[in-house]
Amino acid sequence: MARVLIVDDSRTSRKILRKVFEELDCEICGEAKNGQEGYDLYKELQPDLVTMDITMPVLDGVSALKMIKTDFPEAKVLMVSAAGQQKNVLEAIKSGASEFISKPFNVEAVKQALNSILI
Amino acid sequence: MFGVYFGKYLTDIGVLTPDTYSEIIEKCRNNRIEVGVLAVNEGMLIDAQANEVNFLQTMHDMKFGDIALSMNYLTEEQLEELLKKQGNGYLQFVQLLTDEGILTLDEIQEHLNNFRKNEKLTIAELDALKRADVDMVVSAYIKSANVSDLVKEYLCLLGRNLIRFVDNRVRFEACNITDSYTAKCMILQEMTGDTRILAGIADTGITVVAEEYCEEDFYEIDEDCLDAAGEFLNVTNGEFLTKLSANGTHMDLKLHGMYNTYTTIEAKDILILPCYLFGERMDIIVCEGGRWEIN
Repeated sequence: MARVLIVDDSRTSRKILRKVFEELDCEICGEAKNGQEGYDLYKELQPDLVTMDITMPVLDGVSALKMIKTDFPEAKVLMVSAAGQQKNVLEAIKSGASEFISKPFNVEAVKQALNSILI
Repeated sequence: MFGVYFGKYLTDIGVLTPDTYSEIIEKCRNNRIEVGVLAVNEGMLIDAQANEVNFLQTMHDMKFGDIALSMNYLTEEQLEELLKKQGNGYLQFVQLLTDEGILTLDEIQEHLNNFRKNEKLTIAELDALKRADVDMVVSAYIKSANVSDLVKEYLCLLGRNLIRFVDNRVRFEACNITDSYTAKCMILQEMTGDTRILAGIADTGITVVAEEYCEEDFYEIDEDCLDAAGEFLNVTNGEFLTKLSANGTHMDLKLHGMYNTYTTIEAKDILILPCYLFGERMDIIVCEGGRWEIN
């Protein structure tokens, strides 16, 4: 069972993601509301996968991704954003993201991304 | 879609009571069968294909039939047959009015002419309403404002997403332009880049958006309720910027602001487009370019 850390400032988005991952038999080991909390929780929990929103207060998702990848190069980070413009996708992938999915998403989209990252 | 507009008009002039109006709208909601369900029943699609199209529909701003056509699951002829079987919302509403003995066809025609004049709709716009053409309906209700194509495109997408995620019988009213707008609860998000747009939603209809989008009951407009409606706005705005970027216009989303006390926006030419979701009013707010102040 994959252990997943969800990083998103929206309670609603975290709730939807939690439901989707639970349907995929994953364990939600932690939730964070901004990039800084996400980085701190990553260090503590070292999950199999992190889902990272991009636009967040305190520390944005791409900055948090870079911090995590610097300290933990093997980290698997799935970027999740409402704004799926090409430049956002490219910046995330260049910064070390394993995959990128746009909101709104559902079980199938997350499952495809999960399979491509973890298998 | 047609029934909520024409039914509201008939209620306002006293032809329908509010209870009868609600009953007829409920019957219209219950009678409509999804195209996917019809296609499976008719043996045109198997379950797995319908599910696949349904899945893709959640990710793309497209109708079931258009996705099924693009995947060669249905032919144009099959889709046309299914849409005929599904029935037209306008005809369904008219049928209910006559079946219930409320109006004759001649009376309906007369009221329809008056309704069109009252709403300041052209014949083409009334036809768009009858066939539930959301883009043209939204355009009809913002035509009095001198908005850019970009804002028009945004409002059409927001209209389609309200139908997709919140209420497929959303009713718009004519927009107005103001320099100052105040509401007790409001969610605002700025998009900046090649141009600047401030977009938001306000008033009690926010609760309906939150409940339908998050599939959760909210008994008051609290932080969680605003968060859920804010996520709907965020997703819509993100989708808008993604479409724009494909056409060479680049803008970024700022964090959205959630306001749960009386808040005022001051700017030149704020567009307010009122809409009703399950009867609750929600104002859609858009400012383009220029400066704005939020207090």
